[in-house]
Amino acid sequence: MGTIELRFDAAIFSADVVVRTTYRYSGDFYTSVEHEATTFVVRLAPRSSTVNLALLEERFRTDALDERMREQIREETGEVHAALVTAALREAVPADDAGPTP
Amino acid sequence: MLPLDTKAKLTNWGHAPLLKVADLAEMAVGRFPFERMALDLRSIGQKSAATAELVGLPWAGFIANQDAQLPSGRPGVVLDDRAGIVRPGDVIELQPLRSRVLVRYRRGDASNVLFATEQCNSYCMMCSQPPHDVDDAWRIEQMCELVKLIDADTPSLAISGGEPTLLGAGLNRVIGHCADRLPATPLHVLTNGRRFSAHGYAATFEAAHPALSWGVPLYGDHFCLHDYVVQSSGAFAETIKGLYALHQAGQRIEIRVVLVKPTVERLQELVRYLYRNLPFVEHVALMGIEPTGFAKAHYDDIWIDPADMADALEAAVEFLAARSMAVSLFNLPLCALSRSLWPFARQSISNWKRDYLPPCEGCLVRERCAGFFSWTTDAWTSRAIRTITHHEEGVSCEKH
Amino acid sequence: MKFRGREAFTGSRPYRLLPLRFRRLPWDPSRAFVSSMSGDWLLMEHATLERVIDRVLAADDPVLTDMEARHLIARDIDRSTLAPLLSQYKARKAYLSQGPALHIIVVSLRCHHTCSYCQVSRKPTGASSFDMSEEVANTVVERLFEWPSHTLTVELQGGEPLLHFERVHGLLSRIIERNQREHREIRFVIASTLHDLTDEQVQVLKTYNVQLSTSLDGPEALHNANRPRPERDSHARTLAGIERARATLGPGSVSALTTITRRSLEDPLAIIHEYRRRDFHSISLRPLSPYGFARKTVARTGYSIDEFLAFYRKALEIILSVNHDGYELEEGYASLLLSQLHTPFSHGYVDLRSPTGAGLGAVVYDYDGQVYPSDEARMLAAMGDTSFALGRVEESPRTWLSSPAMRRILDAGVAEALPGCSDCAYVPLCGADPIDHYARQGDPVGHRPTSDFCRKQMGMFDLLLERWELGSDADRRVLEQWALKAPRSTPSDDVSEAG
Ligand code: SF4
Ligand code: SF4
Repeated sequence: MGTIELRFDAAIFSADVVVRTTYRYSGDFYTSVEHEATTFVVRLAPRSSTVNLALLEERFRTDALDERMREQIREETGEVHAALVTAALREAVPADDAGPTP
Repeated sequence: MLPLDTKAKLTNWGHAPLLKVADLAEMAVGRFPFERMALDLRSIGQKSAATAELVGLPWAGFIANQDAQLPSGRPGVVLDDRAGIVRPGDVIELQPLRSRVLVRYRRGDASNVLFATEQCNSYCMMCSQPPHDVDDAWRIEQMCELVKLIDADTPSLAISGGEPTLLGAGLNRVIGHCADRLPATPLHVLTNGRRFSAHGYAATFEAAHPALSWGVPLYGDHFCLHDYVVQSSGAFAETIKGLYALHQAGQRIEIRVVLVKPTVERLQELVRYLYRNLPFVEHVALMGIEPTGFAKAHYDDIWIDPADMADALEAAVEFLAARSMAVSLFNLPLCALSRSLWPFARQSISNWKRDYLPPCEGCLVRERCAGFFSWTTDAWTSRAIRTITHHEEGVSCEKH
Repeated sequence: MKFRGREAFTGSRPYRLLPLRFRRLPWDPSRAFVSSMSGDWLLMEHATLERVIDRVLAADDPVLTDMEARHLIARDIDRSTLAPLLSQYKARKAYLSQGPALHIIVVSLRCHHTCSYCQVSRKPTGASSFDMSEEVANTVVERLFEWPSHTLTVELQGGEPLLHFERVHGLLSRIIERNQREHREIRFVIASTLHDLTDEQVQVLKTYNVQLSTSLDGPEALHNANRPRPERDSHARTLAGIERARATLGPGSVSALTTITRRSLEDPLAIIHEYRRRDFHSISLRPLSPYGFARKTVARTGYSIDEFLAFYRKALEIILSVNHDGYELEEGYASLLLSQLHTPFSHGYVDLRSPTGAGLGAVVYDYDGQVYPSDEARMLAAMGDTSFALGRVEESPRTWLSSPAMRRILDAGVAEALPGCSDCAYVPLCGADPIDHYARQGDPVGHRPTSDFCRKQMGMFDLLLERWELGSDADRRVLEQWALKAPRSTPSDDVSEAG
């Protein structure tokens, strides 16, 4: 089985989304992502003959859409997330200070 | 039900103090000064026992059945009190203008309350004690005085209102008095907890009293529901922040959930919320509605027959109990509960406002049943009320 | 004042998303497991989640209420509060608030087994040069009390620690003596085959209230095949040791771990019944780890994580039915993961933390005075790779924590920041294991799509969630019981899987 090629409209999918999706497939496939004009081209080549190829394109596209949702969530919540973590850690003893008493 | 006030004829009182009702035993103990005690001549029986020597002591006044029994020229209270509303050991307040005597503390009762204020910052749909916007800061002083006259072995004491935290530092004073005078008496403050969201207030109660706990109501797992029930925007957020502040200040917390219809509809979600977010609370009380005050005006919005919340209650109680969160059912008649819940039901209604209905006559579990608030009407009575007979109790419940 | 209807209290501002992650359910991809940053969660339609994110849901849709109560969204941020989310997050990470509480002391490398998969480079029983010296032991005790944690779990292991009982006894008594001044809460655990356990030793263990952790791989044939001794009596000796210990120390004094070899995969039933027969109420099914000799013999004893998960699925069914039979039996790792799913609390388990428990939750003192952040790091060193050696007992713990090894661990030690994990819906319940990833993949950060660690975690979370969701009321009750009984931290009440 040869290389599978998938194309994503760069107006809809960011590089980050395409790369994150591709990462999910990097266990079973040799992967590459290229940017051609208004399109991202993803190439997947199975690492072995036992890799499940059924509905590969459909799965990949669904995952890409899910990644797009995650991107949206990250954009909307990144600030709150950072603020909360900072607030939580301010009250906990930071790892460095959890060390031994001198 | 035994009322907390009664008509009285008051004579020769210059001002209207709080008085400890004393019999000879109280005098012998000598814990309170004569000036704070009214000698209950009714308790002495033989008129001859009330010697001139006894009457000559500097009592604040005397209590009797008839004018003729009162020592002349001394302050006196004449009561027509066959029910025994005022008894030795009680603390009474005299209201000469209204010709009434109020019992502010009843000896031996497990549900004595210090009434903190009529004001409140919430406006709950089922409030049994509707708030009034009056300046009653004088109550702080009265509570402190009252605490001085309360028996040292009182089993428990509550502070309620209105909203006690509206007294601000006044509440600290009252609790401080309790710590001084009644350190062994568990003290439970009923509060909506909102004021504790204010920076630093909760911390002022650290180590305030050796047996202090707070009862805080929560009616929903999200602000829309809770704010609606307490009719105050922003109340949920304040209460939640207040609960964390109390916990931070090392306080013991009880969550009180009045079972109004909209809350029952999300009861499972609410107890899940408690476990996930407030696992440190010491006790959760699920409480039947007290059908008085505002509750009467909102019958359609808040009433749900306990028989119709059986599943919700069982699931909620089971959930909390499995997670080692202590849970109790208040104000719910046993016959309206499935038997698996009986061990959780408490006889929570103070005896001065507790009554039973005709089916309760001859009911086997009456002695441990919460019964009904005296002002309960048919509309507020579960259709499930029925006498529990020996036979029924013998059979194990089919549902389980 | 007038009473107002519900609509008056719904808030006036549009809802906002809170940090959330989602994963489509493998058994029903049209739905998703949606988790908050503190690990509260909800199962919901994936399409609904999409609508929530795209803001095309009616403002009074009940799903928004559920999401709000689980801190996945906030309606009108002025009227709701993030305090519960913050509180939950801190409760989850409660293990951060103190220094390491688990202290593993390797008393001796000697062992009488020649297990094909042994995780430790064990030495023959006569080789006393692989014993911890008294001098090193005394220094270890000094170091122990330099950590701030109020509760300390001291775990003595080997090799076979009982082969060097003199040192075991010495350590126990010295630690208790030191503690007269320190007033720490100390718990002792000894990981042993129990083969040579004598009544005199048991008396000593009783004095110090020691818990025993042993290995029982299943019925006799399987256990002996896994743990060869020239006499072929490993199983019988372990059982005898268990009996001896229980007789004096009580029925709950011994816990056992089950190492799953290729051979074990075939017969989960026999293994589980062996545990029941021996009156254990807890079983811990552990896949082989890639350390020690195991890596060299992978062909003979190894298997893929997928094979392990298939085995585990069968085993879980059997264990559930044993429980339905009326015999209480919990699976240790399931309990741990279920406690993360079904309780808001932090756990005491050092291998599943973020930030990692290596060096922050546990410290290992080797027989020769070398100090490691975890047993895995010690085994790597035994195979010649000292990348994660923290230093020596003569140095101060502060030196260990500022070692390059520790920095390397911390750089890859926060799961929420690792590629793959950062977007994973299980990350609030999962952990980072940089040393494991280094051992398997040569890089502490690791590559999630090929990580056995991740595959196991993900597979277990999926399975336990599926089993809980699709299970009967009785199934759920058992699974939730495990979750609720699992030890929670109290930040320092640590347990390890050593044995
Ligand atoms: S009949 Fe009366 S006393 Fe008996 S359970 Fe019902 S309410 Fe209680
Ligand atoms: S290790 Fe795997 S399961 Fe755990 S958080 Fe990372 S990606 Fe998720």
